[in-house]
Amino acid sequence: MRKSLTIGAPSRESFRFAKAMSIYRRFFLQAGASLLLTSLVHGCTNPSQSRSSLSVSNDLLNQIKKRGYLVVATEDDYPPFEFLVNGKPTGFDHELLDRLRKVVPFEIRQEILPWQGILPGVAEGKYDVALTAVGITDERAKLLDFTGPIAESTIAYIKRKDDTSIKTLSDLSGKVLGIQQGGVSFAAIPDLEAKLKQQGGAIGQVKQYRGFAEAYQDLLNGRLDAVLHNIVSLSVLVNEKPAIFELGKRVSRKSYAGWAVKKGNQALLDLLNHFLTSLREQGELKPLQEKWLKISFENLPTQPLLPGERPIQ
Amino acid sequence: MQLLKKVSKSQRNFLMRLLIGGTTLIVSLGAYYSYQVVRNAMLESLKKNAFLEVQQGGDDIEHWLAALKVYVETLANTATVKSMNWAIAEPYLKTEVLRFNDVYALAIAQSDGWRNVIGGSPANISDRPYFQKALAGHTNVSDPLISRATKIPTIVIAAPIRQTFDTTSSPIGEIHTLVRLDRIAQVVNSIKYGDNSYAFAINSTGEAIAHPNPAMLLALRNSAPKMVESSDRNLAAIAQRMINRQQGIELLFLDGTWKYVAYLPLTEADWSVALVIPRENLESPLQALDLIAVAIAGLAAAMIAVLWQVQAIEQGQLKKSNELLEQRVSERTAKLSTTLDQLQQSQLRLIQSEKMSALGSLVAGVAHEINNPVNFIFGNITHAHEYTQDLLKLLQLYQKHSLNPHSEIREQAAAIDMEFLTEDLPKVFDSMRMGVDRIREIVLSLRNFSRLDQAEVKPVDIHEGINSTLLILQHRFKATAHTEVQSIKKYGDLPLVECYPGQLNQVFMNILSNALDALEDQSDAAIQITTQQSNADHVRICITDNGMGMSQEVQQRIFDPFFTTKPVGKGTGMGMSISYQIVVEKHQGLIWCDSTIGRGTTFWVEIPVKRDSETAR
Repeated sequence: MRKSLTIGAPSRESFRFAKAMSIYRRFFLQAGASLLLTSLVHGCTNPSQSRSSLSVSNDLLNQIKKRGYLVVATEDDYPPFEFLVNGKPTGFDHELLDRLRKVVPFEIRQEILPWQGILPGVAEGKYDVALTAVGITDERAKLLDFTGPIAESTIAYIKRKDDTSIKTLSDLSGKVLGIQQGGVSFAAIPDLEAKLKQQGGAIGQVKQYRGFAEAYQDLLNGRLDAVLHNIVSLSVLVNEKPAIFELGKRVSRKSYAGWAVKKGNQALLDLLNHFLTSLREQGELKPLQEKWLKISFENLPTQPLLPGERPIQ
Repeated sequence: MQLLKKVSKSQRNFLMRLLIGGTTLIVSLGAYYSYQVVRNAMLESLKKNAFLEVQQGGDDIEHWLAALKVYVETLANTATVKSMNWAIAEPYLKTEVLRFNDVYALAIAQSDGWRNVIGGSPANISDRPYFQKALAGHTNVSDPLISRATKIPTIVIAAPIRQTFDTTSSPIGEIHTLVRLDRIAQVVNSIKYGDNSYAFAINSTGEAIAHPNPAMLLALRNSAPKMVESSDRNLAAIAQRMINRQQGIELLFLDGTWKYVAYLPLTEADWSVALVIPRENLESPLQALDLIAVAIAGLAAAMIAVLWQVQAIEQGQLKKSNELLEQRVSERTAKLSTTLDQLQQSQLRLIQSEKMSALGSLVAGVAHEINNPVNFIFGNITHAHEYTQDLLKLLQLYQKHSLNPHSEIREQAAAIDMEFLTEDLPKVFDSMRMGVDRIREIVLSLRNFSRLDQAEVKPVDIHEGINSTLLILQHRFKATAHTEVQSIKKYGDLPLVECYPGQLNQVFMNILSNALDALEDQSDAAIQITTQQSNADHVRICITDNGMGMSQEVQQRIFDPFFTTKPVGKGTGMGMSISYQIVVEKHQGLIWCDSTIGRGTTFWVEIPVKRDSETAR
């Protein structure tokens, strides 16, 4: 029950665990010679997870059994997908992982690490799955295989709640927009420009920020009229700050995020896809999205699609 | 003595079992007690651990609430807020909302209750308890409520705004932050203790603030269901204790399973947090202990069973050896009593044969003594007959030649009836000779029977023995006037038989006298004696009477010593027994009988013609 504690830096939690263990140990010492037997019995009575309702291909199973477990990598601070509350991992992906654990016949170990280490780790084979919202892009699709999307990563905008001048997408014409320097939102500007042009408008000033916190501050102060970011982040923000911000429309082509595995690991990919599809068919994905992402996606494709809904070649 | 031994043995047995049983009971009680002690201690520690978990979670919430309180108080003390001018305060508060993670809106109320809020229109909140408390000078955390501005389930942290830094002065207004209720839920839900455990929090009135089941929460209804009014009595009782601001950990039956509920009141708000842990999560470390206990109990039971078995086997063997001993004793006793019997019999036989030999020698002596005088008579009677014949012839010559005898002579001749005398005298002599012959015969028989001179094995004529026995018993054949027992002899051709003639005669005597006893007062009584050579080596004598016969029981015991059917004083019960010994032991022969009641009895005696030199005594 405590196996999740193999993760991360030594936390307050693991200290408490150690303390608890020392209490156990004292009792076991009091129980004298039974210690050996106890640990033996304990080892035997701790059953591996056997509630399997998911078909796993034999090859994959043997491969995993050989090592003894599957390793998934999640991010430390990527709300609402994965983040820590009081040192405990939580979030949308974490809840999905909990459910996955219950239906596979093997152990799943979780490594929590910063975003920068995840995709290279998966590509190297250090981790089996990047169990985080990985935006599906042309570049990444060369190195990785993606599951069906777990969420959209389409770019949308937010505006001040009391700003009545922006009501539709076309109202963004000539407005001052904030984006993240070099981020995905930057890539959305050409899309938006094309859309505005189509409606006879023109893109206004685009300000680039290192981080979104600054952009939101400037939006609040009136230095910006809208901030562009992926729709999930924005819906969560608006949910948190409903008194000051309002969510606008999507400004870019639709793009998606999914879990990633090393390119060619088809058996594992099939397993994960099967899991996600069954969740969706049982109607469990939508409530999870609403709970964590504060937005639900009605018609997520079952195949990973590149931005603009292009299939991966 | 034996009974006493038996009792003490069974007592010892009982004591042994009592001892084993008692020891087992005491040891198992002790083991069970120590198991319970260890288990309870472990359980207590585990419970403490679980309680620590909820305490930790509670602490987190407390810190969070405290931070929020400090934050609002800090805001209340800024000049911007103290100005009570919404136009000035609003932009500042907006940036604060953006900056401070958990806050979704801020509001400032005048002392009359009218408040401005970010993202909403002005409204009067003088009815809200948090406002009243803040105006009374207390920074406070409200119960969950639905925000009037945003319609979001919210908690409010309110602080008074004072003109000066003097905390005793009366507030000029109130500032409060609005925090989404689900922020608390997030914090509360992060409290966990293994799979399927969950935490919930309730406020001072028993409404759920945070609960994994959304139906329990304010979000869906205007007023949350009160846990104290839950249909689950256990849950209601726990909720009541939580409202009473108690803390502890208890094992309860909830939602169909046993669960531990650890609960703890908070100090920063009037709330209480509880952690519901499935029993197995908490007690799983005890499973090992339980398993060991079961294993040890099993081992102990097996040991006792083995001990019991061993004892039972030992006792079985003891019993067996006892039985063997008793059997040997009884065997020896039987042997001894047989020996005693034999001894008594041989003593009796000795006496009997002594008696017989004494009688024999007496008879032989008498016979010998009579024999001589009888021989005088027998020898002289012929001469006496001749002499009287001669004298009678002389007398007849006298009568012929002296024609006129003296009258005296004639008178005398007439007186003695001379003619009759002459005629009768030879007859008298014949009769006398006959008597003497009889005497000689009897004497000879007596000598034959006793055979004092023949106490050793000799070849004898069996018929001679039978005859002399019959002669001795002759008087009984003609005992009464109106009955006479007929003796029928059917003698075969027998060779001389090597035997003890005296003893064999005694056998015949016993059988014949028994036959005569059986024929007493019976008409047409007869005894038939048949002899024959049954094969080359054996002769068989068969004595049959047509008397009253014997029953089966009597037949079976007829050769037993001291067995008799005769009235007391008439028989010793030794006759047939001695006969059996004489025939079977002395002569290596056989004796058996066959009898039918009312039809008669037959005895057979079969003895070898020649004695083996080895068995000869």
